[in-house]
Amino acid sequence: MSASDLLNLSLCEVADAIRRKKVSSLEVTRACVARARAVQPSINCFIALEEDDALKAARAADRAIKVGAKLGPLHGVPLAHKDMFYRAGRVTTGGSKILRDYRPTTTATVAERLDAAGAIWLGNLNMAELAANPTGHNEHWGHCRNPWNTDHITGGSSSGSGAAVAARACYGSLGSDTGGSVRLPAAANGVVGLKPTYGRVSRYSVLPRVWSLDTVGPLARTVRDCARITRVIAGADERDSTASNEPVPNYERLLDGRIKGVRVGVPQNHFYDEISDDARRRMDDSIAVLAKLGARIVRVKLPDLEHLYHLTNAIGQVESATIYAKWMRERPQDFSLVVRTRTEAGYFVPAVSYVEALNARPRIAAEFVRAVFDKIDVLHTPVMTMSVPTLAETEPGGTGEVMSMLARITRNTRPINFLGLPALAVPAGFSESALPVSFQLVGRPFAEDLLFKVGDAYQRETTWHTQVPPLQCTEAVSSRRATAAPA
Amino acid sequence: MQNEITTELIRLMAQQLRGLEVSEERAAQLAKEVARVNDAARSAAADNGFNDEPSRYAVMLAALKS
Repeated sequence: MSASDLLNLSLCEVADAIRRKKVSSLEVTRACVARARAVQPSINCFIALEEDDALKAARAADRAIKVGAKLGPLHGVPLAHKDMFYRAGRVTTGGSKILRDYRPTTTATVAERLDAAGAIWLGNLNMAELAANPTGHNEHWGHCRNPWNTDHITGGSSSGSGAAVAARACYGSLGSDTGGSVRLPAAANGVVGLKPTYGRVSRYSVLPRVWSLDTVGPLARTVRDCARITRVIAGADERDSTASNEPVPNYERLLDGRIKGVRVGVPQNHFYDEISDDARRRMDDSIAVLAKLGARIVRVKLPDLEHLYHLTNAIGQVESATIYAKWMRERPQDFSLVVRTRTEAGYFVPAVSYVEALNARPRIAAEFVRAVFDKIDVLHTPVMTMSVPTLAETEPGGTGEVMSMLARITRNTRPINFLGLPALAVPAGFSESALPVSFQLVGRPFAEDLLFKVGDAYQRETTWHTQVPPLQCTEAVSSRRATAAPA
Repeated sequence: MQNEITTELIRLMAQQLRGLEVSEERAAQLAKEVARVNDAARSAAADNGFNDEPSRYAVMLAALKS
């Protein structure tokens, strides 16, 4: 099998090939390392490529197969992750200047679970500074660029995750989603991304952005791949009091392609406001595919979501202002304009308003779920209503501009974080400018299984997820730190 | 109806509560942003019950699963 053939396998396919000894973990990991080096100069998706450690781990994985050891579901598969999941003693930058040399003393539960499942840690991926913007701009580590067209944004904040998975530099990645940060880069790069139910996945030793909204989720090229990673990382964690005790299903076992009778809701309000013509066509096409598979398409009027946007800001601004308070006081110059802007409003929101927003959350979530999910099983919406913008179009030029630009991009993702619901971004084709367009499926709390089932059925009927970005590759200089140190 | 938050209030809060200097222009932007957020919270709180509390959120998510 050629390196290119290997890299085009899905995560589940390559895991199966390694397990069956059709290919070694070492071959696969070498192919990923070479691909990562080749694409790095174009798209800047890595902050740190841990080549030596990854190859060592791959050799160990191959030895384990040889001696007949018990193998985990990700055995020998190279993954790379947003640079915010702590591993004791290893640098985790959070895409920031402030944490450029930060070595946490603890290891994230999700990192431990990936390791226990046999995954290879290929490196740490670029991200928006401190997970705080949805475009992928990063003035400290360099902007991450979209592999479909490097003039365009990757979406963020899990920018490197979306770009690296699309570019075939790894088979899957963990990101985090506080207001759309998994779904936006998944959508902009044409890969699948899951924002799980709040509490479904432990946040222990994950760089915080907004405690009450942060979720950790996978990005990969297929829904099945995301289902496998989710099963590995989800579940109770005594070190994170917000991690749920709900049992974790074997999501993959439920993927049978059958969605006959599933009620798919298409919103009549909010999600289609100001949508571009080609994004609407892709939405219509994807709904037609689901209808052809036997899903019942139901038009639904949703409760007002506009105020959720502002309630989410009330929570997000106050919590992030609290998290960054010391640095905002002592090192304000080390933050980018976007992060400073988004953080400082939190100082002026009254404490009572913040708690009022938190206190309204259970009631509003219940009202929304009952109003919507008593009529339908999953909600189908565009992730973004416009074509993926260019880096230049979204370059923050002034503080006021920053907020309105971010608002447009996250309009369809952020309310879902307030509600705490699971949402799965699935590629649905391309815009007229040849950039990916995606829909998201939103479900009841802990309905990840149904989202995977519908998304997988869709991918069995379509080939968008098999398309490869037309990226021109050049060989990069080998180095552990794939990019220059931050300014 | 949105309650007005003045530029002066933002600048005073910045100086006296946080020890921060905020320009007039930026304070005007922040005043608008904070007013929107504050108004949304107050409006939502009008329907909150006396016995509601934020920690019900996790319980509610579990209760709302199918």
